[in-house]
Amino acid sequence: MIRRAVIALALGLMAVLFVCPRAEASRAVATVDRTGIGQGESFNLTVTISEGSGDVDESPLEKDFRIVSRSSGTNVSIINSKMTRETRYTYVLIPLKEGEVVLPALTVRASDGDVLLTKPIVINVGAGGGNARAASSRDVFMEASASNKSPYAGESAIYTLRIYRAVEIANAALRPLEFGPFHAEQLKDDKSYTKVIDGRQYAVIEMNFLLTATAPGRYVIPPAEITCDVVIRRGPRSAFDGFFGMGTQDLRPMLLRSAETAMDVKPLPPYTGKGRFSGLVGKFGVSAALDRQEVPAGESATLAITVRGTGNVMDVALPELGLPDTVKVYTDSPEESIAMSEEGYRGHKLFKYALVPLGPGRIEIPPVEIVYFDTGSGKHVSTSTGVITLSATKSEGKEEQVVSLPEGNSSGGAKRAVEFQHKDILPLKGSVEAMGVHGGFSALAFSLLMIAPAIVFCGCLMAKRLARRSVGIARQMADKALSLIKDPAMPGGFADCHRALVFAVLSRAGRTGEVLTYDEAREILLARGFDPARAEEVVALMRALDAARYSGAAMADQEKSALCGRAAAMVREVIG
Amino acid sequence: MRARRLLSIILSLACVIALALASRAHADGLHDKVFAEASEAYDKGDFEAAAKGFSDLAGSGVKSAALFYNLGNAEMRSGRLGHAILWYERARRLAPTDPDLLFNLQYARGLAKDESPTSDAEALLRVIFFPKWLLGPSAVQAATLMLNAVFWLAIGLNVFVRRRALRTFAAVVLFLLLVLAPTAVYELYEASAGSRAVVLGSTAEVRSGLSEDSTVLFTLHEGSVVRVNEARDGYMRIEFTRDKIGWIRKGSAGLI
Repeated sequence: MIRRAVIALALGLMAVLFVCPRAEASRAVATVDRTGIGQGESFNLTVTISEGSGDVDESPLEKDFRIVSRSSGTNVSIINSKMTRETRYTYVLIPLKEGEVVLPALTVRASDGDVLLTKPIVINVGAGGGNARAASSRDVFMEASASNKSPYAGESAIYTLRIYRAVEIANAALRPLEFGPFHAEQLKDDKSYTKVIDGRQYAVIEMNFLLTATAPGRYVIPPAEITCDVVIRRGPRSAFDGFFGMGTQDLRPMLLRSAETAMDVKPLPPYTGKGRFSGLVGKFGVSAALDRQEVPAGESATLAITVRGTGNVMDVALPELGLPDTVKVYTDSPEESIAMSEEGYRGHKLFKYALVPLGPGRIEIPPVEIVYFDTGSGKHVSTSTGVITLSATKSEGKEEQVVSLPEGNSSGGAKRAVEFQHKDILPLKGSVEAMGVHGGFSALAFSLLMIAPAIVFCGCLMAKRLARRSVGIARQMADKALSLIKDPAMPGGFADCHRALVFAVLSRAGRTGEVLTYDEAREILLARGFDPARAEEVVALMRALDAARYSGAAMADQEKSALCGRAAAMVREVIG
Repeated sequence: MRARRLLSIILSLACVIALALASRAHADGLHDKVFAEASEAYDKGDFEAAAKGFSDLAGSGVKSAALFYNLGNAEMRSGRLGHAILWYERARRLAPTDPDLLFNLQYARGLAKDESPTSDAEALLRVIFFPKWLLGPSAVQAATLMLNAVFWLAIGLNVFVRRRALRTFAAVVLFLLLVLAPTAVYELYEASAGSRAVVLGSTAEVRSGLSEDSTVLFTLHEGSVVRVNEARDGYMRIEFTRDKIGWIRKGSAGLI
């Protein structure tokens, strides 16, 4: 019977293993939505794991791709009583290089423990690749360019970003642009227009930035990036939707990158001419005008000098006039009008001087010269006003005045606030200890050092109280001893005498008690500096009193009194 | 016998102390040499070598405001604004009133792209813990410990020798102690909590969560100073202003 049962069990197990449908093994498949994309565009990678779920090893993707986003979903279906389960991992990727880029095989660790491998996929990126899409076949793309990729230091250039779209997009977001060492300002009013490229019409948004290089060198402006969703409209799903004119739409995320822009900023050639280089870069002109050619001495005429041009107009400094001491000069705050344009900064700066001749005569205002660097010719150029003449006449109805300048003010100019011309860091310190030695304690050490004086204080306080306490005990015991011998008749007899002697010795020790051995009494007295002979006398007296108490021998009253008297005297001596 | 034993113990202690002092002097000598070499490299224009030299010295545990200041200068010259501000801030902790340091730090902050926010809480802390901005932390600690010891000595003496002048003196010392001690404690707390950091990379994306998939809330640029509230899983929770809070990767910012 047992044998039959075992055979039946074995047959049953075999049926379960071989007859029943076996569970399907997991599979992993990688697919992409397109294999040809333009530079900077993204594509979708979907890893589908059938009959289960798992973990995808994304690390092989990081070498040649940037993972913009990830999502996952699970699909369970039951068809003809058969349940299938599918897990999808979707990645939006952007290639990091052009040409044929291989999407490597990805390792998937399935939930059932199997290790699966997808197949590699080749993606063609850019206009030169095998299956790459031409510019006209791209729905959305971006271009970046610079009007001048090798400006001089101080010269401005226009950085233009153009976004082309042939389809509807939503949720567009431009990542903040990084211009490195360039001073950048966006020109107002972005431009919008349409453009046809290879027969396809694109709506274009153009943004312009005015960049000014501050120092020579090679700089690379990183690519601009825009994230957006491409709207994919589908037809109405049902007649119901169609009746209400509704369709459906999907959003496909995209990440667009422009190319990076390399700029080589050239240094200005050294200036070897006469005069002083003003630091201006661009194209400039200078003019001067007097509001009146003739002015009585002591009254003012206004000289207006205007520097106008294209370039770093804002850096125009107050021109020096070089007038003689016979003319007082007062300056006003300059007026400026500067605007940004596609040619760069353009405008003018107006400087006004009030000139007050101190006496009659003819005053020649020397030409005001400005040396600037002309980016067009690549040379330093000088421009100047002509000589301007001012006639100072005698003051009418007044005696000839001789106006002298106050002492110490030979220049006659108004005072100006000192301003920074340039900025830089101060130099190194000479040694490690130059700014002081910095030890410092840790938190634990600091806490301990803070608590230590308090502990010492409390210790001293306790010691004082203990000392006071021991003095109190000595006083107590002494009072007890004296109270026992107070009555000369000694009614308590030898017992009281003995106790009084014991209390007296204990008072010297500063402790309480009722009994003492002879040795203890001797030790206490000797420790307290008692004369050894006297200490022996005290001990002998204690023995005599004990003998008198306990021997039972008869004693005459006189002898008793004498003994008690000696005890009382000894008590007083011990107490002191 | 006992005297011999005592003598041998004293001699052994003396040897140990002498060895410790000698090794300390040797270490100090090496530090000075490295410092001088790095300074020379800086003067020759080799700022990377200078930065490495100063950085190695700082990494070996030398805590010096001059060293941190010089390292900040080398980082500035090497074009690493974030690192420069970080080392200037570390130097400022040790020497808060050095004029050269304050000048360079202000210049460096001026180059940072993000506008530094003004915080009411920080203004209040500056008022409460004002000695922090007048003295270095070791000076504050030393003054606090000294005042503490003097205070307890004064009231201890008063227990035995009751004098009104002594009590008045103790009260004055206590007042000064109550002014300095909170600053000393706050500086120890700050040093252990490491609550501020400087953005080191050209940009740092501040996200809503602890992963690269989380939404980018805002972006900070090199040199911005933030308050660090928490750190876990390779991310730090930072606060730029009261309403600008988020998570950045740990390597994006250096703790002051």
